[in-house]
Amino acid sequence: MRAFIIIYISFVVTQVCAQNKQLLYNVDDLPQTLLSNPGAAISFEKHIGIPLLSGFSVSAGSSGISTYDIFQEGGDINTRIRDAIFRLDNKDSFVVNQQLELASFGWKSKFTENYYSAGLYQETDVIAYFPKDIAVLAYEGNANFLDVPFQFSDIAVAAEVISVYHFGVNKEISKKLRVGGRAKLYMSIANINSTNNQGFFITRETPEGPNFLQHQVQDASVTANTSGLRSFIDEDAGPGKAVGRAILSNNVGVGFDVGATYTIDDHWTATASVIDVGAIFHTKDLKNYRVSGSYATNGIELEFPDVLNGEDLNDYWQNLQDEFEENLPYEDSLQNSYTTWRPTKFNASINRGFGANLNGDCDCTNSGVDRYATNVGAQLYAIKRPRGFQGAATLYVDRTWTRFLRTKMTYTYDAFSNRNIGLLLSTKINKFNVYLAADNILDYSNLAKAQSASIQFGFQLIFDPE
Amino acid sequence: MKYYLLYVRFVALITSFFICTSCVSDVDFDQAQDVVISPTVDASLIFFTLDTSDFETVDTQEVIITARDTTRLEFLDDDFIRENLKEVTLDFQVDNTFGQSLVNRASFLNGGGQEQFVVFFEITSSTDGSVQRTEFTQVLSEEDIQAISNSRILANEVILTTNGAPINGELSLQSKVLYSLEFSDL
Repeated sequence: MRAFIIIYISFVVTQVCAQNKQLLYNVDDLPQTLLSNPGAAISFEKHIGIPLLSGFSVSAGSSGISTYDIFQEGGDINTRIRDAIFRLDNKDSFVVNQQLELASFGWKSKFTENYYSAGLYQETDVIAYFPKDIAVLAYEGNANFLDVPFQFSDIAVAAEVISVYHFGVNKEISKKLRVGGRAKLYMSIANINSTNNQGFFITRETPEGPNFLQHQVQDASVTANTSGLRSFIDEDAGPGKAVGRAILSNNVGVGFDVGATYTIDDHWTATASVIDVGAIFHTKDLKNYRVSGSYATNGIELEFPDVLNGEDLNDYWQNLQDEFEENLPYEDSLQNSYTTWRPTKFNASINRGFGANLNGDCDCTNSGVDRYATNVGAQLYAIKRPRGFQGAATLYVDRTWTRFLRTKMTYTYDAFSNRNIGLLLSTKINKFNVYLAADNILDYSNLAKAQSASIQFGFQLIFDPE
Repeated sequence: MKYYLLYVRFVALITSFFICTSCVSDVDFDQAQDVVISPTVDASLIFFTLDTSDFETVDTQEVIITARDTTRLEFLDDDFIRENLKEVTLDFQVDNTFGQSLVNRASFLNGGGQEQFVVFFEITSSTDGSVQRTEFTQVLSEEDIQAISNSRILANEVILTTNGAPINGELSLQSKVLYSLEFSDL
C-alpha cells in the first residue's frame, strides 16, 4: 500500500500533454516528423529505422502538483496531502505515454515523386483523472459532507497497450502545397476503459424523515470495460500471448492521419495535421464490470413482531443486504463488446526561415522549396481526452548548424507548466542518424519538482538526395 | 572512422549530460510511513415507531411491559473497522406521547448472545399527550469501543412502567452512529 501511494503520487503529481512531440514536429530531416504530420515537407529520399531503436519516446506527468509538493522534507505530509486533495479537481489528470518503433522505413517513388513510409510501432497510453469526489469521501468520510453528492462521474480511467501498422503517402500537390495521409491498423494488446460513469452517493439529513439520515445511491452506472486481460487473469496466459497480439490481435481498429504543409512565400510556411482519427473495436477476450441502479436506506427499521401471537422474527440485516444487491447489482461476468476512440491529436504551426538556403540557390531536388538553416515559429497542439481537449502552445528556434548537427529548442506553455524548455539534438554521420530530445530540461536538476517529463530518441539510416 | 568515433563520443556526452544532471532531491519518501487517513463516517442505525398495540398485554396486573426486537449489525465486528476505530458516538432521539415512564435499552451482543455493551436512557413522558422529545448522546470510551467492536447483534428494548392510567400514545426512535477511523501504516 505504501509503495502504491508513493508511485501514485509520484506520477499523479509529477502534467501533461503527454503525447505532444513538439520537438520532433517540423523537423524535416527526421522521419519521425511524418508521424506527427504525414504532409510534412521532408528533405530525405529514403529511411530505414534500426529495428526497436528507431524511435522511442516516453512521457509522464500530472496536472496540479509535483512529487516535491507532497514529499518535500520537513512539515506534515498529511496536511500537504489534504491540501492537494482539495486543490486538485476532476479535470486534473495523470498521463503516461510510451511509444516504441518496432520497424520503420520509407522511400521516395522514382515515378511519382511521392514519399511512401510504413512501419509498426507499439504504444502505451494511460490517462487517469483525479477522482476528486471519491478521494474526498475516502479521505474525509461523509460526516462533514451531509447533503453533498459524491459524483461517480469523477471516476475516469483509460489505459491501452496497442501496436499500430501504418502506411503513409506524402505527396506534393503544387510548389506551394504538400499533403499527406496515413492509414493505420490498430492491434489492441490490452485495454481498460471506465470513462462514462454516472450517479452519485449522498447522505441526506432528513429532519422530517423516519431517521436522522438517509443514505442514497442515485442513478448509479459505473462500468469498467476490459479487453485482452481476461486470458491473463483467468487463464494465466504468458507474455508470448501479448507478443502474439502485438502482431495480430482479435481486437482491431482502424484510423488515419492527415496533414499538409503550405508554403506561403519564400520564407513563411504553415502546417497542420490531425493524427489518430480512429477507433478500436473490442470484441474478444472481454470482461466487463458494472454496478448500476438506485438505492436509499434510512437504516434498519425495527418492527417489533408479536412473537407470542405467532409473528415471525425478521432478519433485518439479511433483508438490507438483499435489497442492496437487488437494487445495486454488481456484475463481474459480462462479456459485452465495446468501442474505444483513439485520442485524436491536432497540430498546427507557422514557420519563418532565415539565413542560408540549405538547398542552395537553385534546388532541383526538392521542387525548388527553400530550406533555411534557421527557423523560428510557433506550434499549437491539442489532444482529445475523455473530459475534453488538453492543449499546448510552443515557440521554437530550429537551427541546422552543419550537416552533422541540428538543434531545436522549444518553449511550451500549457495549463500545467509555464516553464517548459525542450531541446532536440539530431546528429548525422553519413547516413546514420541519432536524435535525442527532452523537454522540461530546467527541471532535470530535480525531477521531483517537475510536473511533467519526456524523452525521445532514435537511431536510423536516412538517405538524402544525391 | 575518426569522425565516427568523434560522433559516438558526442552522442554519449549529450546522453550522459541528461542522465547525470537529472536527479530527484529534497524529497523524503520515507514520509509515506507517516501518512494517516482519518475519515469520519456518519451512519444510520435503527429506527422504529411503537404505538399502543405494541404494549398491549393479557396480564392487566403487569407493571412492566417490554417491547423488544433484535437485528444483526455485522459491520460492528468487521476486522477492518475494529482495527482502525478511534472514536464512536451514538446519537438517539425519541419523540413520545405516552404518559407512562419509559426507558430505552440498547444491548450490543456478541455472536453467542452475550451482552458486550449497553446504552440505557430514560424517555421523557408526556403528561398531556403532546410530543415530548428526548435526545441522548453517548461518546464511547476506549473500553466501550472494544466492547462494541466485539458485537454483531443489537437488541433494543423499550420498557414501559404502568401507572394505572390508560396506555395510549406513540413513540418513535431515531439513531445514528458517528465513527472516527484512523488508517495508518498503510
